[in-house]
Amino acid sequence: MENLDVKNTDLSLCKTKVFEKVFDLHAPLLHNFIYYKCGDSDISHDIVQEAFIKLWENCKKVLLLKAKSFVYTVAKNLFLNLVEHQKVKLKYHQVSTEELNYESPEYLMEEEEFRERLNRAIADLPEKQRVVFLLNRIDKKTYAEIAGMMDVSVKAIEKRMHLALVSLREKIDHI
Amino acid sequence: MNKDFTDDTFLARWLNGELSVEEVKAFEQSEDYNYYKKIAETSALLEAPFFDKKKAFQAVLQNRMAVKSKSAFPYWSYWLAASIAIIMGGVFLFPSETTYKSQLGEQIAFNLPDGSSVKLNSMSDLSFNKKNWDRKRELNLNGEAYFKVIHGSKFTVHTQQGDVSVLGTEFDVHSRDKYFEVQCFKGRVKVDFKDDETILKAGDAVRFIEETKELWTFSQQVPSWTKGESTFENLPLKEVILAIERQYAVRFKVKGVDLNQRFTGSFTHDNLELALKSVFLPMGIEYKIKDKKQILLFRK
Repeated sequence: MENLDVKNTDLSLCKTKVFEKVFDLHAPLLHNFIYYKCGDSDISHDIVQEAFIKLWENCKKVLLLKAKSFVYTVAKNLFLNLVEHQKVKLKYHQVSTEELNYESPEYLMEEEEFRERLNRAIADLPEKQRVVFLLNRIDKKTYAEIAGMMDVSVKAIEKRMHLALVSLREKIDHI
Repeated sequence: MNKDFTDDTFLARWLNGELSVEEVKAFEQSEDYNYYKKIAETSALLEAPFFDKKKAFQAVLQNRMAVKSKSAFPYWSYWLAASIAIIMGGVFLFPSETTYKSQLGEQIAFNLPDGSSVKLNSMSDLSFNKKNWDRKRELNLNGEAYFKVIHGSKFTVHTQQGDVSVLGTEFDVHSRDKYFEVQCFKGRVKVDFKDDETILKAGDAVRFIEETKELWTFSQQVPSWTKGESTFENLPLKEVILAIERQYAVRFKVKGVDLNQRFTGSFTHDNLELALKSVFLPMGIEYKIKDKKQILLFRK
């Protein structure tokens, strides 16, 4: 697949190659975005699929440039309509850092304990703060990018990030 | 607002390296600084769950084809891709029913009219109406079965104990006599038992032993019995013994052993001696294999 210029509005989403490129470009982050909301990978998979099926059904009507905001809007609506809002525990895989191997067992245990406490505190964050925090920390998205995904101002994202950090700090009473 | 912070975006800007040198210096003096530093560093190590792009795209492609021929299901039924295993007791016989039945020590696999696949564990039967499948997607099960439901399909499994409805999924149902167990491996299923309604997510399981409800979670990807092994989680010994009887076509005689004690563990399907050892040895129960495949159980 050659470089796909998203500014080339002649490209039709109804072409499988174009569609696949758009999928590759946006599906993984959309999945994470929904996952941070609900903590359930099955639900986020289904929502991503459903959103892209809708995009395909409407491939004649949706401009390539608008594909991203289309799937995000559909996914957000699906999430609101379909998910029973239950408190789900978020699980994260930790990246093992090699240098940790040289640390003492006590240090490793404390580290592990801290990670668990942090995980719990993140799971307890209000949904909007959690999404902002994780999109920034895990997906390394800038505040401007997150603002685009959530349809709010950059300032609002910065406030959520600040609040997220403050509440994480409050929940974690010792290091 | 915390006194440390000049405004309500302070930490966000700190994390982004947007503070002035003076601001950073002042912040580093504060007692909370180490906490924030540690939170920032540790959270950068987090990972999102794996998203298989290729697989997900294939699923969308397949659905795309289905969409063309205007699907018979409302769009929410796409949710229903899951696998379920059910064990139940009691058969209902209706005319013109298709019935699959497995014998002692036998497992069979087949597909339902919608393409969903089923595996039956030993001494189980499953019946449904092939002709009316499109109108009446209902199955009757006696015994244990593992269902891998095709994406977007929906049906209900009836047992004498309770009903299991696909909310999109892979699941295992086990229902015999007074025993009813459902494990959900993927997606979601709804379990109706008398007045009780339980929604299971992937990794959730429920069972009713003489009407007492127990919930637990598990981590296998498919039921172990489809892989030549039976695994039990905190199950009364008498159910475990029945499972060995069905698997190896043997009979047990029990003397002075409490059959209500619970067993957690597994037994293999291809070596009786080994299977007996792995169940009874840890429980401190002696066994003796007699002729005609009769096994005597007793306390030491």
